[in-house]
Amino acid sequence: MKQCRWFVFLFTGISVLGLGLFSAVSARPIFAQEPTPTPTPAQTTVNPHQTNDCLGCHSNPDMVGVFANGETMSLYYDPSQHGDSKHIQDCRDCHDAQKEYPHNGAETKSCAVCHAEMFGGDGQNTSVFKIQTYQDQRAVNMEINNSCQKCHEENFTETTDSEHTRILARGNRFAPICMDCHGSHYITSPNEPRTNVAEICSKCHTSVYTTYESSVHGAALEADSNPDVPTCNNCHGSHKVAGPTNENFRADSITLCGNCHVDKELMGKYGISTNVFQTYLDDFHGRTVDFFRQSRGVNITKATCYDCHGIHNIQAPDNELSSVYPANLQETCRQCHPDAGITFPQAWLSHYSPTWDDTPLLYAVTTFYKIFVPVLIGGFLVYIAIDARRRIADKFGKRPVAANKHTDTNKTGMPDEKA
Amino acid sequence: MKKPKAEKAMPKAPAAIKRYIHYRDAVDAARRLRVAPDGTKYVVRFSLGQRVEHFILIFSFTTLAITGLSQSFYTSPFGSLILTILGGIESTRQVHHAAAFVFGIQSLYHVAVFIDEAFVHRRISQMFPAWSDITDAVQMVKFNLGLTKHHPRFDRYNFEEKAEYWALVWGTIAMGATGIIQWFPAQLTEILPAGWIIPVGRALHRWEAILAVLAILTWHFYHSVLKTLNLSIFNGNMSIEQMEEEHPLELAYLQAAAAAIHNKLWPVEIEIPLGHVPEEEPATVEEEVPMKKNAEGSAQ
Repeated sequence: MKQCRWFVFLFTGISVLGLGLFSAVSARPIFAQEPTPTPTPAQTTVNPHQTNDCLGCHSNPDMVGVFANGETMSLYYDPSQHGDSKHIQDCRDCHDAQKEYPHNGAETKSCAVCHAEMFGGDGQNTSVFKIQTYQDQRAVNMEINNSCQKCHEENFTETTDSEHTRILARGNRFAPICMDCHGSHYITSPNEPRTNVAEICSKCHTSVYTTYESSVHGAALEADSNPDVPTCNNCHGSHKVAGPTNENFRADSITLCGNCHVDKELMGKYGISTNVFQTYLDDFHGRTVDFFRQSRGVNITKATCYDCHGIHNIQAPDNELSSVYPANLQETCRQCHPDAGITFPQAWLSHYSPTWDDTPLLYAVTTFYKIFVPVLIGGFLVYIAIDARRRIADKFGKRPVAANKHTDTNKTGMPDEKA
Repeated sequence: MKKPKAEKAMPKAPAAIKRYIHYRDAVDAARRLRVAPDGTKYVVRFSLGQRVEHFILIFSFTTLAITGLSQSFYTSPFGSLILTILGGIESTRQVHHAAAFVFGIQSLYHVAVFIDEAFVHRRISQMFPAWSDITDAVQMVKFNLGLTKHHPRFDRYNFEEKAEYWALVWGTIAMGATGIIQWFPAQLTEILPAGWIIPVGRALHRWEAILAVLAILTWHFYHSVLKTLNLSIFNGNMSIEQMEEEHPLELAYLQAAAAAIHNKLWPVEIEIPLGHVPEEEPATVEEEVPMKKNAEGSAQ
């Protein structure tokens, strides 16, 4: 009985040990433990060769890589950076090329991090590594960037048609890739808060951002994260970024502005007329541009919205800085009509439909023809119908009165032939 | 213009008047009455110049209408088809401008011919509207409705043709002026008082174009193609039969004038029938009617 009790103790002990060992091996241990500031071989509890315990090494804040060109890159990773990012997964999901250990092409010194005694080292100065497999940090980023495709297939494919990717394809390695806008480890929704978008773009497009910031749209956005005003991506697109040099961008720009400016609910908040788009289309410029828009790929030479109102510097028309402010209008027209006189801007009806008060003559002409044309043509048709009915009746002999027609002429004493 | 008064004053209205004509006009009239080799009689109605003018008008008007309306209705299938065929809206505008230039030159030529005829040759066009056109129109409608037995009898140009012509004159002035405004907006706002003439010009140009095309398609096509196929503007000639039916007064004048030439009596007084036939049987006219009563009459 005493022997039996000892056996039970032994069995329980082994079970507990075994379970503990099993759980330690099978769990993904990356974030299971607190980062250790200075890892030593003794503190690494699990064999990194088998468990891919990235943080076993990369939790060292001093750990840096040095590229052949002298550029350095921190190899330290602080898991607390992740915050509430949804990207807390396995490092290897993104760091595809580094999933083997020792890392592909890594300097053997990396072994010495743990195995200092084997390299005759003293365990000191083990935090600097030469990186030979990559040209520079950008090369690392660009390689890792491809991993985004694994989950974000759709967005990733969209970027392949973006202006940024085209610049990249032309050889500029610093054209933005996913992580340049979205960040790397700490990835959150880029439009929260909404001002974030413009700030991301401003990392490169600084001067445009400065102009935008002071525009009617930008100022409203900056003031209270106004959800109604357009920020960069509303016009230029997010992943499929299109630039103004894109041939269809100019053509589509009118609907870009139009989409919001015909929205009665949206414009009603600010007291802006929703008539602007239709009056533009009714006008010479709009008519031509809209036709160009339909036949894709044609160079548009006529004014679109932004040619008059400005692009990033757009202001409300009653703002003195606006290019369509009455005092500035002649100058604006002269961009295309160099000899435009002082009265020329009046040719533009300021997006108003003609009314009796604003443009009496135009209103009168339009109204007159709207009534006159149907009445006159209707009158013609009535006359023709009466005449045709009579002629048809005469021809088919249904109305004997027709016979009078020519007998009349003979009774007048008119000479039938020359004497 | 005096005719209604004459009818009112006298129960026995004259069916014809007598007047002296110029020898030159009688010669012209005699020349217009012709006999074809096969013996059929016809009247020369339009000169070669007038026929060429009409050809140019057809060409330029049609081009202007098609290129203009396709710009105006660019979203319609027909409009976009035309614009595509002509290579886009810009080249369509160039075609429109070219046709407008031809149309303008033709119109100026027409005015020049009118001035030459009126002030050099002293022949007043019979295209000017007269009071008789109104009475003709009223009688025509009454006749078509069966309210009167008498068909109005027309001179060289009937009221339908005059309406057509003067509509074209007005249309040419309106379209020309508003077209030039749109062609040179910047320059014209320098000259003209205000910039709003450009939108006014656009609106007027568009509406007037619609009106002109509809008028041609209804009024002109009915009267010169559907009603009776009138080819005189193309070959210049009209048969005696058709003259009797459509322009009996002119034919009567031509025949009277030609008869005077034939009789070699000069100066001569010819008898010219009046347009309106009284409801009762007309009395044979014996009394002399003063010449001035036929001011708008058949002077060539």
